[in-house]
Amino acid sequence: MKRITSYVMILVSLMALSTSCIEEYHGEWEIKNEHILIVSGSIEGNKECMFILRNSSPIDIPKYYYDKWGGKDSGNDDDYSVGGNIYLDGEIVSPENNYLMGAEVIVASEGGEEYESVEVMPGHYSVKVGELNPDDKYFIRVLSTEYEEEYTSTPMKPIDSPQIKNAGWKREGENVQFNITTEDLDEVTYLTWDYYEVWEMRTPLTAFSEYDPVSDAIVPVSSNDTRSQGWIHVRQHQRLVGDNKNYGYHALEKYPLYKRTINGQQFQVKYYTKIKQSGISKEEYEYNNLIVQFNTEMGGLFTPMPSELPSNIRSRSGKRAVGYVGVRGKTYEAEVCVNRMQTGCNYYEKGIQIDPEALGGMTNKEIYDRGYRVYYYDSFTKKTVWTYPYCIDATYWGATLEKPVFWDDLELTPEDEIEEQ
Amino acid sequence: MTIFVLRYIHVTRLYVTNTIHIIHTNLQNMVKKVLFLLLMLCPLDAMAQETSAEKMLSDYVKAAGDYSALYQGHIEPMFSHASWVTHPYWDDPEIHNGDICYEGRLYKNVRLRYNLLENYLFVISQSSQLSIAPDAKKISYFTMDGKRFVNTGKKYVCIEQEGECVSLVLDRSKVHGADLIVGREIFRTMQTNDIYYIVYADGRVEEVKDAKSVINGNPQYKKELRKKMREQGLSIRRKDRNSLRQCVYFLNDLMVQNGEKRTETSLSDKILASVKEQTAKEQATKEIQKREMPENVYEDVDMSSATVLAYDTYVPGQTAKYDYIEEFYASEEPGIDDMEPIRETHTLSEVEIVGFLQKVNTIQAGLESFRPQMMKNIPLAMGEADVMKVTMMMPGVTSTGEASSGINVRGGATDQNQMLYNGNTIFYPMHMFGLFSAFNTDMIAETELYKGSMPSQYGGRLSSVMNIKGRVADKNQWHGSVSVGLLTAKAALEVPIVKGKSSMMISGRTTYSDWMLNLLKDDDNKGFGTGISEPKDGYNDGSAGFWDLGAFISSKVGDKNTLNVSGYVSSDRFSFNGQDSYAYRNINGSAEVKTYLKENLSTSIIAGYDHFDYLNEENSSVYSSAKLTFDLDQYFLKGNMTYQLGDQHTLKAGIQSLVYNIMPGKYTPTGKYSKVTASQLDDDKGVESAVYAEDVWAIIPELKVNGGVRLNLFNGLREGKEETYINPDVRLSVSYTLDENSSVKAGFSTNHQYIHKVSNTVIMSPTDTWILSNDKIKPQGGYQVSGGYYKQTADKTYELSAEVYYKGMKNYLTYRSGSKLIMNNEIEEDVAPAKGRAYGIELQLKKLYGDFNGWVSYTFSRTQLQQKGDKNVYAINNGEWFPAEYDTPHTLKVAANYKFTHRYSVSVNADYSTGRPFTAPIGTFYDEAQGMVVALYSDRNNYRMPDYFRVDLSFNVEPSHKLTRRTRSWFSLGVYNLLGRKNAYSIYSKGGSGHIDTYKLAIFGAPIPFISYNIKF
Repeated sequence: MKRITSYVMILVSLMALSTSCIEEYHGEWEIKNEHILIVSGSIEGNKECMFILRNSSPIDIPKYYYDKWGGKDSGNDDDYSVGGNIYLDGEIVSPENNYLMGAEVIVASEGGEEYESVEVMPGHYSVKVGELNPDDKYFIRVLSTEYEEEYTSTPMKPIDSPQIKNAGWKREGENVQFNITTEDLDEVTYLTWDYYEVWEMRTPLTAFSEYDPVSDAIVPVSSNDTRSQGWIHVRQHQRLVGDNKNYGYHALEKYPLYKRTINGQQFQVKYYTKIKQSGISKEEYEYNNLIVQFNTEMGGLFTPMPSELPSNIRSRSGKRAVGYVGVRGKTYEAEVCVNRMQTGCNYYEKGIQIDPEALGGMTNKEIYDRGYRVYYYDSFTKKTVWTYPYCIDATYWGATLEKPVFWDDLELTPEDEIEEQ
Repeated sequence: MTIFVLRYIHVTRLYVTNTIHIIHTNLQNMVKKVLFLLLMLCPLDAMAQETSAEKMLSDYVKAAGDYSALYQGHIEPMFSHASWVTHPYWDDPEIHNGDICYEGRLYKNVRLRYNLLENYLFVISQSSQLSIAPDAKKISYFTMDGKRFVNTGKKYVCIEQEGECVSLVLDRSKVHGADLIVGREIFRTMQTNDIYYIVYADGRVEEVKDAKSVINGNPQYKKELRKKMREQGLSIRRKDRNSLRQCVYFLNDLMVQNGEKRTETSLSDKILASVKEQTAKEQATKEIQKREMPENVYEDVDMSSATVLAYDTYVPGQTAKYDYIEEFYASEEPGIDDMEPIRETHTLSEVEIVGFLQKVNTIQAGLESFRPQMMKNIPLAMGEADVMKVTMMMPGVTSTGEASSGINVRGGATDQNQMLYNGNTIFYPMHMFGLFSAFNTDMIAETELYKGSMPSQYGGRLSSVMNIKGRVADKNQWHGSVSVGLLTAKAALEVPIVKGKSSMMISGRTTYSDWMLNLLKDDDNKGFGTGISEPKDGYNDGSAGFWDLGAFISSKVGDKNTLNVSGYVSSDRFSFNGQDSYAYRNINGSAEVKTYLKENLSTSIIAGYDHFDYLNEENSSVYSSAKLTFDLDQYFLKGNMTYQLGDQHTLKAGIQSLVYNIMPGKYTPTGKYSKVTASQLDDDKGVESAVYAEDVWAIIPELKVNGGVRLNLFNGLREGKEETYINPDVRLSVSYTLDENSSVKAGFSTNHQYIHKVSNTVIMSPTDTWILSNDKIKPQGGYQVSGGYYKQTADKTYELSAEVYYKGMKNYLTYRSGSKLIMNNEIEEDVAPAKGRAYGIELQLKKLYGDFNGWVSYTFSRTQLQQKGDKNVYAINNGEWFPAEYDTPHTLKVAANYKFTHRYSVSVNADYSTGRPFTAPIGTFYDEAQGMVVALYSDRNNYRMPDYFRVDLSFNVEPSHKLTRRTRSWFSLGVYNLLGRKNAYSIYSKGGSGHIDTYKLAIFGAPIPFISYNIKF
């Protein structure tokens, strides 16, 4: 029995080595540069619509970069790297900034309307669109000398969004879940949401003094001039789409949109979000779903197999482009405001105070030039206590010091009540 | 030395005397029964007359080789000449030539020897040269060295001298003698005990020792006998076998001259009577023409090399095959040509011969058939013989990888194969993500796979029909088996309910596999951004398991009817993390009545129920926690008839009806806070009916045609989407026999399919959706043209086949990009009908016998789809032909077994195939909304994964071949994926963190050792 047990243990140990294997995989497709037009944006009435045009990039830029140069410095002056961008033969290959410049974007309708664009920034084309005719079909036309092609999107009628009945929030474990409830619906409806967040933050420390490099003196700071309070503005970095099929084709009720950690900076003081709801077509819904899926895992055991994106933009010659230009009709917005007390947030960032003696007897100017900032001056000990900029300056957190005009008028949104089924 | 020898002789004499006494006492009662039997057997002729039919039998047996029923049985235990002083055989241990009357048929010139110690007759098989004990219950008598040995039920007695009035019978036995010790070596000895009897025609039986005792027992002939003995120079006192035999011979002559009583039965009747006598207790049938296949023939076969024929039969007057027991046999008998009935008194039943060598002799091209014995020696995943894995070793059959739960046959999708188990349809035929099949090998008698032109009785699927027939349990004796491995355990029990009439086979399996998932790599995807939490999506915290239970009851009802009832239930569950769990079930049941109305007319009616359901529960958010369920029910009723019209035609006809009831999806909130509204998709219903007619026509012996038509009628009954489709199908197969060992075949068939599986995953997932044709989803349709050349060597050792095929398909449902296939009441909008084409060539070489056996097959095949798109559907790959997910141009498979001895053997599998197509990320772009880089994918299936190559090895040990042991056990030890190659199952990409990472997933990334222990009783 003992011997049998030993044999079994050996076998089990052997089997313990036999895990399934997931490893990185590289193929010849990674170094290709397909040069496909990427279009972002949608048509909306009575609004300045922004269309962003980019080129696609190779999937493995370092490898593309390395293989193209044979593993060495290419010796070509047009091959260089600046500000995180990689240029090969003078052509930028980094996806984020791989803009298509010098193109022309026109918003047109089958009824003959046309609105031309202005390139306000590299790759950013602004089009002022007038009121949309709900019975007319709208599309965009992209003329690109680089691609030597004209691309058009599928003409579509404006799609209205249902009204928002309520936007709310609920604590779920360690997160705050934001949700939306629409008005009653009676058919299949596809929706997308854009949200815009603003939250008030405080630095770990509030400076009472500051160093004036002009006068080379430590001067007091008034409470009105303190930089410890700021507001961070963030546009969403998330595609949100949904439909009401799981709701019996009726209203979306407390449909989950996104989460934030309770003990995150967002709820340090007060948090605000504005949610905009737009109606979209089924095809745009599928396109957005696929984009979201592409960002996760495709082609795994139980995940869908990938395929090309079902874009609605094509060139006259049939060359593909990536993007879905939808046409928005009526949109609706809702706001949610939550403060620290409501969430029970205990976010805390420790401030760091630096003894000047620890700085090795440098002068104030020298310390300042090294990036430190004054926390306070102790008139009794005649010592200046220094700290790091982020401990006293909100701008180092990406915040602005200007309070939004609506901030004080915000009404707090009560937490959703628990309703048992 | 002299003292030693004398002591040895003395001890031996005492031992022999005692032994003889014991034997004599025990046999006295038995002798009376024996002798009555002998009276029946005392023939006028010493040997059976060789009729023309018997000659044909001999020719057939010679041609059939080891297929013959005679060569089934246990292998003779090793007799070591080194440790025995004497031998256990009749006269000597040499192989003799003789005849055997087995199941009423006389097999001539069989190499045999009679082991007295085991009381078994052993025959030497023609090709494999194995010494095998045929079933003693089926042997009436045998001859050896000119003498006839008659089966008494427990042993054989030799008729030394046969006469009309008196015969001499020798009852010889051998027992273990005292061990002989020479020096330090011990030798075993055997003692021979001979007892002679003379049997009179009037029933008297007397024991005799020598000629003197014969004379003393017949005083009226004393004078004449003494005179004759003297004239021949024979002693009447000496215990001389020849003297005794001659004395009985003289006595018979004298008795004949004096008109004494003679035996009255003829040779034929005596043999028939003896057969009936011996088989009456074992066989339930009364007439030979109604005899069914003997049960458990395969379980008695201990040969691990190749399966053999169930038993030999003859087809009176013609060579076409018959479907007497239609569900079991589908092969032609080799070597039979213009047979005549062997007996004048009755005609033989129309039972087909089953064999592994059927490609040359079947009509259909593309038919594969095998038995569980073949699975035993193929090393498989986790040490369990698996019918699906064996099927995948056949040419033209592929899968998408190790975790695949379906098969692709000649370029068809997984839902285009119909899996039948005792008439029931199994919709999801795998357990544990495809690691184990749903079919327990213990319950299987035979598996047939129609890859090409299938018989007209089958329909409803485009590509293939896999017909798995359940095994009938022994109706006379209890049997069972248990198998334990590292991942699974299974048990089977055969229960005779009414002895000789009905039996039940019950079998179950379960697994204890959670520990395996815990070994899988965990994947920490925490997403990005501040304060955003994402659930873990690794498998490390997962759990998985399954169980299945099957039962098969077979019962004879009267003389003409057989009732078979089958049931099967399986359940699977798995969960990859705490927030997502899956479960699915198969439930099947059927009842079939087979009736043999007349000798040439049989019918069968089968009714049944099939059920498949799955459950997916998700708990990522309390507000959205819900479970998704799916149900599929199928009720069916089928009636079939087979009629033998004359010598050349076998007509088949039937009518079938299937009722589908699908609940496509139901969303139910779970938990107290879920805000999900309960919803349910509209039920999908339909009725699929068909009538068919088919004729198997033997135009000339060499040319056979199987032609049939099938008319399908489908009524889609989903509310608001009703539609009716009527589609005829044609089935045509032609076979031309070039010579007795080669043939060519061709086939053409059309098929239609009304139930479709819609999926956008690589593998056949349990959460795939099944839908019926309706006003927007047309039935899938297809045709196949195939042909082949088949050749076997004269000794049946090798078989070569070469087949080509071309298939066309239409309305094959492929997924649309970004489609949502679950809980979609308008799913017709999310699937795109496509055209398909597949073509290929399949080559296979088999070696069936010998210590080394196995097969190698190579397949070249292509499968392509085309979806041009329209105003509602986006064209895939610009409407160009693109490879299907399971397109593998080159496939090479090798299965080889080698037997070192009767107990030890090694098996090797090798499987190579071209990498599957996949869609690769060919670039990236920046998504403004998400603020991150997203993968850009190529045209669908534009690239190929690395080639697949795997080698498996197993070592099999069979501990005991003792015939008298009640239990038999064996175990297998091996390695799956011996080379540890990380075969890509899928290539997938993941985004996030600003770049795209591509990964290769290998299900088995290292060698997997396995061990399984099996017991049978």
